[in-house]
Amino acid sequence: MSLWVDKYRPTNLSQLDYHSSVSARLSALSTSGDFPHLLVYGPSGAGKKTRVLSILNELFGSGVNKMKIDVRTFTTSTNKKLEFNIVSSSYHLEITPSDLGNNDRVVIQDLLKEIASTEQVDFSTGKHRFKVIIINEADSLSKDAQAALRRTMEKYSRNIRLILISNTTSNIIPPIKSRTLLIRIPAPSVNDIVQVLNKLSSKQEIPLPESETERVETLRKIAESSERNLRRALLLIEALSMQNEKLTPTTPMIQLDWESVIKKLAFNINRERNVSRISQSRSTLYELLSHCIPARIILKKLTFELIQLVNFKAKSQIIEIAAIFDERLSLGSKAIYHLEGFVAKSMVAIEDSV
Amino acid sequence: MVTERSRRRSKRIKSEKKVVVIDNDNEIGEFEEIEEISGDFDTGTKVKSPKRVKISQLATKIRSISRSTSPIDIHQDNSLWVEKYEPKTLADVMIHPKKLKDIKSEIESMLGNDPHRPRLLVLSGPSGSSKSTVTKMLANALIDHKTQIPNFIEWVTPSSTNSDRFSDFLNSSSYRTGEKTALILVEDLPNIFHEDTRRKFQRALLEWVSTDYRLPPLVICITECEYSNDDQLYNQGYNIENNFTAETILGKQLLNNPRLTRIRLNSINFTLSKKCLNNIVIKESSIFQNIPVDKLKPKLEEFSRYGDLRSSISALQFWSRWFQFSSSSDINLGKESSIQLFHAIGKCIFGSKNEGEQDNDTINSVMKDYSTRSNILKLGLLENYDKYNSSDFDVKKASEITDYLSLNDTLKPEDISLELSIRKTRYTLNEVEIKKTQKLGLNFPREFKSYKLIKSIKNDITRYIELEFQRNSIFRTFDDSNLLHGFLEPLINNNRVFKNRSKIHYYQSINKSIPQDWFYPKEPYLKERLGGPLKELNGDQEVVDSNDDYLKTSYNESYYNDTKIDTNTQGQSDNEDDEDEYDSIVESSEEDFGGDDTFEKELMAVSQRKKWGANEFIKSQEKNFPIKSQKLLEIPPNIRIPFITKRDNSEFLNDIDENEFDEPDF
Amino acid sequence: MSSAIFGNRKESSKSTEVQERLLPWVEKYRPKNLDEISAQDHAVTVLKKTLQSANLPHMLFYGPPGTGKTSTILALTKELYGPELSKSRVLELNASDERGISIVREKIKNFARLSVSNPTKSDLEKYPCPPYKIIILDEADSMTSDAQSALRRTMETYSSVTRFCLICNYITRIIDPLASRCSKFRFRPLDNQDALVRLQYIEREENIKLQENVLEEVLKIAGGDLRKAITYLQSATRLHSTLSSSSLSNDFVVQDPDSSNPNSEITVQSIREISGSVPDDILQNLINVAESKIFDDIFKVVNDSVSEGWSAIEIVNQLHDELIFDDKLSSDQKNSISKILFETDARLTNGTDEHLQLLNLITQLSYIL
Repeated sequence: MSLWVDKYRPTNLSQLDYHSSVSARLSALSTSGDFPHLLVYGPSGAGKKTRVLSILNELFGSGVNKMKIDVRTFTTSTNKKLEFNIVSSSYHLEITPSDLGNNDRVVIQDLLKEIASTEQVDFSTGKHRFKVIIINEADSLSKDAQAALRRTMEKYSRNIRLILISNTTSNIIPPIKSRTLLIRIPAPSVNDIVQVLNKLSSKQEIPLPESETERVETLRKIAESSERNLRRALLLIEALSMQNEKLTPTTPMIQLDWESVIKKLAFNINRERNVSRISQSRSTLYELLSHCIPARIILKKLTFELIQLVNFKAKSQIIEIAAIFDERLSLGSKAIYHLEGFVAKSMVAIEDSV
Repeated sequence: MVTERSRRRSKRIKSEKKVVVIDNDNEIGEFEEIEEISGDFDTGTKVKSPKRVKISQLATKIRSISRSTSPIDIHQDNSLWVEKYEPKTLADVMIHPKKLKDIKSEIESMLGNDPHRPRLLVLSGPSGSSKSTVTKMLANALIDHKTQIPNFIEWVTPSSTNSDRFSDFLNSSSYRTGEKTALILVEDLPNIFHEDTRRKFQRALLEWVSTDYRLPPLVICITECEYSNDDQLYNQGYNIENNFTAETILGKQLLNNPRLTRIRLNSINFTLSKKCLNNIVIKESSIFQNIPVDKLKPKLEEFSRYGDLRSSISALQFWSRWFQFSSSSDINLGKESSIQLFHAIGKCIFGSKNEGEQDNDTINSVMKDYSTRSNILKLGLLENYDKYNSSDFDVKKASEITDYLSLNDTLKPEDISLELSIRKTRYTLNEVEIKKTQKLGLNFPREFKSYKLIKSIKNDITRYIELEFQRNSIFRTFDDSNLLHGFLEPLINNNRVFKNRSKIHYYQSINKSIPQDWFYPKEPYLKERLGGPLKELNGDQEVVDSNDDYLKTSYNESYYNDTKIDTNTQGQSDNEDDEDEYDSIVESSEEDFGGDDTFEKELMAVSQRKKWGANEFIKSQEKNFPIKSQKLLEIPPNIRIPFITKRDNSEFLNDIDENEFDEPDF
Repeated sequence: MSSAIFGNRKESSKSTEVQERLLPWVEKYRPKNLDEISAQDHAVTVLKKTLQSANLPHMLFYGPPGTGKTSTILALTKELYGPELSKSRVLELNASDERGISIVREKIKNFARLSVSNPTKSDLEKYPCPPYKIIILDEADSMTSDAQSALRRTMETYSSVTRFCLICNYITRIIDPLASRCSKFRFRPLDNQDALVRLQYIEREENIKLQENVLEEVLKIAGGDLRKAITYLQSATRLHSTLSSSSLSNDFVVQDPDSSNPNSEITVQSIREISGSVPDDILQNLINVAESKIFDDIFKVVNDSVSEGWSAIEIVNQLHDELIFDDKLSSDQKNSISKILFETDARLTNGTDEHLQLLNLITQLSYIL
């Protein structure tokens, strides 16, 4: 028994519920037995990873699902030991560059070289002689590493296929973009999610209303509150149906704990604009940061919560401020400066607009 | 060199030969003093470190050689003033009278008969603040023996590495009561940088304060200093490695003990130092009579500012000799007085300064000390700028400061970025009119606390990802785990267990048999938010020990300690039979909830494996409510429950790879 | 057993075929000699002259990507040495994977130190075969300045037996002492006519079915970068050939609004999808909401386009093309637009959040438009 989101996770392309055109495209690629390097991009929760794994499933069969985690140690030039995880099956392996920090270039180069040098020979079919390497969060690869990758892609194209998974193409250098086939995976629309949830309700006992319209209405509400993220929607509906005897369109939605913390923070900032409030905000910001909530997500959520509360003039100012501090997050090293700077500046913006 | 010196000196001293000798001696003197200044950390005035003894021996040797070749000038005084003018009586000790009174009354009550009397006195303060001198004097003054037994026993760290020595020392000293009463002085600390030794040291002291026997008074003198850099702070947190304070040495548990009294001594203030130096000048008039007053006076004031009497006196002695050779009085002497963090923050934010100092000077002096560790000061500024005028100032000013601090976080090089931050903060706050007199206490930057917490939560989440991968062979991303699963999964799990429980109640009441597949989840599950619930991270006004309680609580222990996955976290607790049974049951059981409450009892009724259920119930109870009485004496383990290391994990994974992943779960 | 062997043999022949098919067209259609180089008349003329005298200076090729710098030097070496000899006489170093002082020193030294192998008679008849080796340093501008300084010395030491050819995009990133030792050749961006001829040639060779204006669209998206254009064309061709052989093709084509015939002709739409560029209607929609100045609409539209996964940097680039050439806008407006587009672009390159930046961009635009 596991969570619904795991239980009903699609494993091959035909089980995918939405974006049929993308699925068709991927399916076409996989039937040819080979594919070029891919750059799969789209917002988080759109199902990029699921699709990539599905292609592999299609190509190599269920052996792809026999995965294990390896811990590799890498000694950097400064003699520091670096440990990182590699998830692998006999057909593919996955790396996440954010584990590697500043050494991503060297690690990836070494790793790819190592894999490429061990030829994949499958005597029974002789078919897939290449190994697939999935690079998660490819947009967090340093420019240095990307430049190195560009050469590696050409050099080892005989033995390995790269699949880069990324939230955006903005941080990917043009040479990589031009060497890969770009595949965009949009987030599922609210309707897509409603359909998936509806399908789920036929397999799992969900206390939904009897009448069709109310039923769809309830599902739609859940879908809408999940911000076009299917994983979130599935977890939400499971939590809701465990929590409530009956689900109706008026059932209160579950808010994520960290999101309600941010919401409350935004409310307080808007209501009380003084220095003591900034001090209190700092405790809240540290609370979120300490819980590994990414600073960028805090900034974004806080901005969106704030602009719901303020008038038009302040709205555009706050967005402008957020855009500036967003960049500072990238350039600087300690998130707290920039988050607090944003809070203080937003207060001034609200004060001025009143 | 010699001839030049000689020419100047010949005015005063007639014999050419003597000068050479004196020069020799002087050089020895200088040698010793340099050793004194640099080696002066906080060895007591009386207790010489072995190194110094050696040097003085060497000096005597040299002196005797020179004696043999030439007659000696017996008027030349070669002793160190620090030793020569060591206080002989309590009245001579340079300490604030109030503090002296406090210490005296503490030691008196320790010698007294009050059942609640303190057992342990901790004196903490910077070097040269007369901690040990006062203690020894008081011991001599307060303990009156008819016999010749010394009035105090002092702990001397042996060269051997045996970490039990300290408790042996305490044990052997504990009989010194009644007739033979002696004060036990611990000034030289065992090697507390070694963790095991530190724990044993703390444990011995804890035992000391918690026994009911009559014990002699125990005084610990701790010379506090912080010598941290940013790197260390991040790697280790604020702990003993970089921060030598009573908190890190003794630990919070001990410090909070009611039978421990702590008295903080400040560095000796300007007036007292100056008084002492003046006395010396008068007594050494033979030397000082040749020094013009206008040269002497500013120097005296400069030396008096050191805050460490020992180095003040040394500096004075050295300077006076230097002055005899060189007409220029300009020589950089004495202690590099480093500005403590809170002091520096205070200077930057409140603009507190010495007389006649401009903001600019203040900033420069802070910059001098902090240019190499700018991070901690910048964080300190952010943490504390809002304390100005009790947070009562325009939010625009605050936004200017934070904007600047934020911008400076993106700038390089570090020292310029720090200077800009300090100046902006100081000048912006200077424009605010101070209305409130009450000052808010300064906070230590939370960044390091937060960093520790992040590390521990990251650890939890990574563990979760690994365990989920092992169980379901599903690899979750870090953000998904933290942002979505971390909160929603416990919610789902707990509600499901709750739901099933009520169903079972109902079925039991109507005597219906219970379908097996209701019991969920089979495996230990997330009961609490991954990494613990979100809670505000507040600032601390004092430095916190990195092993402190904000990290103590761990969440989802039963989930992480799942015996089915981890083999080495379940200790060799009870007998072997129990263990075996437990394992086999977990594997075959459909009904294992892993719950922690009364439902376990219901489970017992349903499943027939009563014995295990009961055992497990008690086990889980113990886990949740550790027995308080034990805790008192127990030094808490370093951090958290022992996780298996990653390396182990992977090996383990390789092992189960063949067995368990043949049939994927979905 | 035998079947397995047979299977293998069959497979291996098939795989070489696959290899053939996988060979990037960029390589396949690389110019074989200097005459085939598109639109770099100036550089080509000069180089041809040096070819006659067989005395080559050190060279520095610079210009935007995809303008034929690498192709030119490769073609030149072929003409100098012929296919066989160039293997031992030419060292191609790609700076991006192996840079740093040690590489420059070691690799180049080792190569330069090797004595020059003698050309065969047949080669001598056909090619000039000058008595030096050529070292090509591609992407030289990504070498550290330390490595570049180290190179300076190496160049002089071995100048009797080697010629260097540095290739870079930005000449400003080559240190002066190095640049002054080389003859510089500037490569102009290709104008569309030259590039179109080349693409049409490939179209004929590969027998690609294209809809109208597809090549023009490819060129527009590639922006003077011939390599990019060829890569897009190849990707599109591969995708469509697999689609046509797949039963699911209908499904895909239905999603294509402007495809009139459901066979495997490459459409403008699919070229755009492959290049990751944003469709016009999404772009127009963004401009429209900015003009409407209704914040809630802006918020919603931006939200949608981010959820659809459209790349923000692509939107910025295309908005630039769209707005800067819009005659209805005044110069002042265009100035302000350029500024905010520039800011957003810079921030996005710094790895900022696309959603926030895009929202800011459109809100700011709403004040300007």
